[in-house]
Formats: sequence, C-alpha cells, structure tokens
Amino acid sequence: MRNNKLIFIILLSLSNIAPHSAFANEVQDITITGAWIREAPPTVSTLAAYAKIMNQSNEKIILTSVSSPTFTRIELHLSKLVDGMAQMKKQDSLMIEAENYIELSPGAYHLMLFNPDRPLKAGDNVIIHFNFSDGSSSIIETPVKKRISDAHNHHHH
Amino acid sequence: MIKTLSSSKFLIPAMAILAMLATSAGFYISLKKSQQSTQANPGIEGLFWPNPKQMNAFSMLDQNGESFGLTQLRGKWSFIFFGYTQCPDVCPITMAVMADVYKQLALEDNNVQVIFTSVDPDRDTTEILFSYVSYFNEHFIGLGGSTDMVDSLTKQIGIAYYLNKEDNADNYLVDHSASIFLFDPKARMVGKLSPPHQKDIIINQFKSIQQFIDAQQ
Repeated sequence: MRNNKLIFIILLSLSNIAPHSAFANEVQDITITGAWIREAPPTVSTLAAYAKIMNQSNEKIILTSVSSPTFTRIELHLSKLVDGMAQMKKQDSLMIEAENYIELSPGAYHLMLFNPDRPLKAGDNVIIHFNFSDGSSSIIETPVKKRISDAHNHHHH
Repeated sequence: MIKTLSSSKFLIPAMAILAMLATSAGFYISLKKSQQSTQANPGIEGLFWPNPKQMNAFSMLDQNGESFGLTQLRGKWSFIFFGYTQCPDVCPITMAVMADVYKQLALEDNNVQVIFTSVDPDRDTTEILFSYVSYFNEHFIGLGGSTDMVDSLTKQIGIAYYLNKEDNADNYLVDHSASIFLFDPKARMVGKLSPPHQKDIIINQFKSIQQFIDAQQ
C-alpha cells in the first residue's frame, strides 16, 4: 500500500516533468491536463481534441501553433452559435492570461486534427505538440476516447 | 332609476336584449374556455402550437440508398437534425447525445426514429452516411442525396446551411442549424429542441410534447 502510493507519486511527478524536460525552467509555466481526442467513425478524417491549458506564470502566454506527427495539420477552432447556426471559426492563436487557464472543450474551443496517418481507435495514443509564444513546447501523449465521460480529469462546467 | 325605467315602454325589449347579450357572452366565454383546454399552447418549451407545420412531400436518400420522404415520417415520432460527417465537434456531440436519448426511449418502447441529415451532399455519399450513422447507433437513419434533395427538406423546415468553400476547397467547413426538430406520427413539425443538447432535457421535452400532442387527438 505504502509502496503503491510512493510509486504513484513518482509517476505523477515524472508525468509533470516529462513534457517540459527539453525546456526545463525552474518553474513550470504551462501545464496541460485532461487532453483527449474524440474517436470518430472510420470514414471521418477530421477529428477534434480537447485539453485544459494552465498558465502558471505571471505573464500572458499565447498558444501559437499545434502539430502532431500523426496528422497532416492541426488548427485551433471555436465552435459557436450564430442565430441558431452552428459555426466553426478558425483561430490564429489562443491567449492564456497570467495565472489563468483556458479550456478546450466540446462545443467551444477545440483542436481540429486533419487526416490521421492511420485509423484511430479508443485506447490509442497520439503525440501532440503545443507551441507557445515564450518559445516553449509541450509534448503531450493524448489518448483517443469514445466519449467525454471517458476523459480523465475532465470537469464540465 | 329602476322605477322610472319600469314605467317605460322600453323595459321589456331592453331586458330581452340584455338577456340575449348575457347568454351570448356566457356562451362565448364557455366556447373560449373549451378551445383553451384543447388548443392553447401550455407553455411547453420548444412546442410549435397551435400551428404545427404539416410537411409536404420531399425526396431524399437514406444510408442504404432507399428513397426517404413523407411516407417514412408517418407513424413514428422523428427527431431530425442537420450536420456533415467531417464536422469534428458539434455533430458527434449531438449524435452521441441522441444515441443515449434513443437508447432510453427505445427501452421504454417509444415509437421513435433518429434522423441525421447531411447538408454536405458533395462529400457525404450514401456509403459514408451508412458508416457514419451506424457508428453511433445501428438504427439511426442518415439522409443525403443531391443538393436539390437536401433542399426539398431544409426549405420546408426553414433552415439554411452554408458551405465555406472559399476558405479551403478541400477541408471546407459547413455552417448548419444546431437545433433538433421533432415530428409527430402525422408528419407534422411539432417542436424544436435548442442547443446545448443534453440527454435528460431532450427526453423531458420530448415526453411533454408527445403527451400534449397525444391529448389533442
């Protein structure tokens, strides 16, 4: 029991450090949690991904681009309702205020992932690179899930 | 006053007129009341009443390539909504919610059908629609066809859609209605369910509308 707890803590700290190890700052500026990709029907080549991006620094940080070796292109989009019409608007970047967070979530801000290099099923993992205006990059191993209810760490507000 | 009136020659005709007015007013009020009990909109959210839209003929293709029109709407309660299969966010959210709704309503033996209508006729072929709807539920219906076919349904319902091809010719986005439209077994559009869509809200709204419409028969 004690051992399990210790291993859990070590794993937790490793998972926090790993994405940023290449740009190890003294203090972690950006933390990304609860990232997931929505599994899509087999004929669909446009997928969505969600995550919570926290900015722990005391300056605003801009998410400037997102990429992945698995997809030909990733765009930032905002789903919104205009006069009863569902629209998606491409965003050039996404600003995260100092000591604040932004949530990419179903029906709101999300990542649009184009043309996966293989059919993706729930249980698969995909590497996604989040690139920020301070020059840092977060590399997140993102699970494919069927439903939001499967999503780890996600709290719907 | 009464005394002076009573001596008047007009008393009897005046009383008769008053009596007629009172009777007809009473009759009018009771008529109004009876109309209210069967016809007024009781304030159910999303209910189209007292003038539900009777659908006219339309012609589309389902996910098996069979023709789908007014006949296929009759005899069942139908949920119809619009989207396109390459839509990554809003459409699969709605499909997943409707899969939950359908599962519960089917368990309770409700006579319902769920119909996804593609407003992207160029990309969403019959084969793609089959794969798409059956991913969410094997009983879901996927409608498509030519632009004229799609318009034969969207124009009646009164919704627009827009293909944003000028932004990106290959991976274009489509603006589409975010509402779910409800049709009764007489193929009348009796309700509109507005987003954000949630299972319990949809089921409650559906049951309220269904109960109200059934009570009008």
